[in-house]
Amino acid sequence: MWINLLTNALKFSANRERAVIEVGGRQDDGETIYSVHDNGVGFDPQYADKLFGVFQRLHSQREFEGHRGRPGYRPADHSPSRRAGLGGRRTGPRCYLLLYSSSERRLAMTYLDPVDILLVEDNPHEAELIIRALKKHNLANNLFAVKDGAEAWISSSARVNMPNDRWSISPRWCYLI
Amino acid sequence: MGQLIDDLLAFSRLGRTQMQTASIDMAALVTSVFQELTTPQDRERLDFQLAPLPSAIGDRP
Repeated sequence: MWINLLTNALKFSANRERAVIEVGGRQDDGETIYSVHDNGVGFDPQYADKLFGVFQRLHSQREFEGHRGRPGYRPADHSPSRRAGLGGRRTGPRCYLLLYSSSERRLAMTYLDPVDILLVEDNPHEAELIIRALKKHNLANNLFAVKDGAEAWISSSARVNMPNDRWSISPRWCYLI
Repeated sequence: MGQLIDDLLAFSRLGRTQMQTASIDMAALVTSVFQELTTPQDRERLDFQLAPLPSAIGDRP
């Protein structure tokens, strides 16, 4: 989890002359919350709902190569830092198995409980291999396999109860690339 | 592909191991991950701020 979050923070702040990465944590009302902030590429707050949903990638690959100018894109200087934490706020197909829990007990339990797995793999042979491996270890019970991010979005929206049409990330959802 | 298979094998081994819950020092964990992910040159241009972190209960390898 930390490798994932810190890699993202490093990646998204790579084009800053001086990258700032802040790692924090607190315990609040039975929840333990860890957060990673960076001063890298930001997002327009109007897309916050989408960011907190499944992986909609707001930044094209080009932006990370130094070519900005996507319509509607607001540079980081005018928006809050991207923030990872609270169930995973990065876009992109990442695995957020566990970022917070209601209690320490739950934190331990999460690894033991069966997890829902959304497999996003466009190569059918590799998808088949992964599905076989997961089945072999009785992990495929809650497996949904899709080909790309758009399908993943539709699939998640359709399968998950969405109060007020808003997808909330459950700590028991695991995304695999 | 090779990496994928290695990871799946590691994952399958994880599934067979009894979980050993213990308190995890998150600050130490984050520091070690950060050191692992960055080179000394990287760290020269990085301002890494680590606040005190609550510990977590987890499976210690």
